Amino acid sequence: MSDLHTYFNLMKSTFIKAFKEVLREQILNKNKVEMDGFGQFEVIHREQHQKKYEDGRVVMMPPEDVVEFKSEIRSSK
Amino acid sequence: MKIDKENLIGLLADKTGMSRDEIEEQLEQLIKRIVDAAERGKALEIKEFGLFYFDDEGTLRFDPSEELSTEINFKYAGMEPIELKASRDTSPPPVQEEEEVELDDDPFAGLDDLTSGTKAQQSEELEPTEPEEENPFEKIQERENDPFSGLLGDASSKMNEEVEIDEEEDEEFIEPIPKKEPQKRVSPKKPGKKKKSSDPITTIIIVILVFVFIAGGYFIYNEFFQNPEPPEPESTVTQSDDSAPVEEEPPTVLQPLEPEAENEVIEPEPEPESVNENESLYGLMGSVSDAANDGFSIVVHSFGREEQARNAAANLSSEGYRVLVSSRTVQGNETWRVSLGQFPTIADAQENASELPSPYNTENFIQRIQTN
Repeated sequence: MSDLHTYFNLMKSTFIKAFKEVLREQILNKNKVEMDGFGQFEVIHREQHQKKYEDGRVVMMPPEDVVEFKSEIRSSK
Repeated sequence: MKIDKENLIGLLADKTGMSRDEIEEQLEQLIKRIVDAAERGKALEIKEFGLFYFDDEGTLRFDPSEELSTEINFKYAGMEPIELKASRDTSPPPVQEEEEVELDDDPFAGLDDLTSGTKAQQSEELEPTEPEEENPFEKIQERENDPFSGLLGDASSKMNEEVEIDEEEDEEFIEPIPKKEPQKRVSPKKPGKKKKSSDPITTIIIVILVFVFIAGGYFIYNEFFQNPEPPEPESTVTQSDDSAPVEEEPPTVLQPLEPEAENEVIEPEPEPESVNENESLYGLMGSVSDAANDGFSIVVHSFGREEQARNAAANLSSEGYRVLVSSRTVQGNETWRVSLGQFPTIADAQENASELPSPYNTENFIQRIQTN
């Protein structure tokens, strides 16, 4: 039975919602979230930097924080 | 701080009220589902969170949603790329880009390149299998109305728009006054105006069009109506009566409204009022509006105990502020945040935050309103 349960993937909506919220909160608090067997979320700060385009334009990019996800999972293909 | 799987399960259990075992199982399923989808060459999207997929090298990647990226970057809202050196030629810049970017780590890479289009198409949205679920709709709506949808760059342009709107409002308030006087004096003219547009629906449509017109061409508006007004209000009326009905649209529109509603009592305010209604949904002062809970608020206090937060909230309330109290779990501790105002955009909130009395004007941060 439990196999069947898993097979049909009965994922609870409350769980998904909570998952999103908790991760969002943690990420916004600059916490690193590590999930064994899946990967880790981390916020990386990027200072402002100059970006050079091939056409000669040079653009100053504003600083930004980005979410970085690192995973040990590789495609089996 | 680091949140490991155990912490995460604990947090999720707290939030959902489910048991740790159940959470663990759900988490396993979620991961399995993400990986399964990725293996099939699909991207799995968790709305308002992000997209999981395998990149060309077979590594699992995550692209944060626009909402998440914007929220993380709220500090930098309004900052735009600045061009330091212009392009050498005038032809449109090649899509091929920057020298220094490590494409793999660039979360925006997915947004830029073409593959994202296919990714998005393939993406299987994570809609839980339970039918009682109201989330998908809720999410879609939120997304449509999301004030974030314009990323960093947009925030400043929105601010500009808002400034313009403010100016318009001022004029709105000024404008009706001169009209009021002439109308009282030259009452015989009213019937003539009435004939011009008898259908109230048409009138309303015209009013709306005029507003669109005003928003689009503030300067034109300025020229047409600012100039004639101050010198002789009476002549404005005669003008609008006899000639140039196209140019003088707003007066001819506004005036029929008044006689129709009530012949004697002239209310110059109907329009400003409706503007105010829209405005009062959001704001710094007044009382909390549930309809404005999709916006942002300025956090000015953070307490460990609810009681302290409620006290501070009561004090601020008595000063006329719109006060919200919310709780969050920060680093394992529950904190109670007291925040002021409800604003449609981060830029709005920032603007208001800077005008708060000291020390709130410097010691604050903006958060998305959360109703627990």
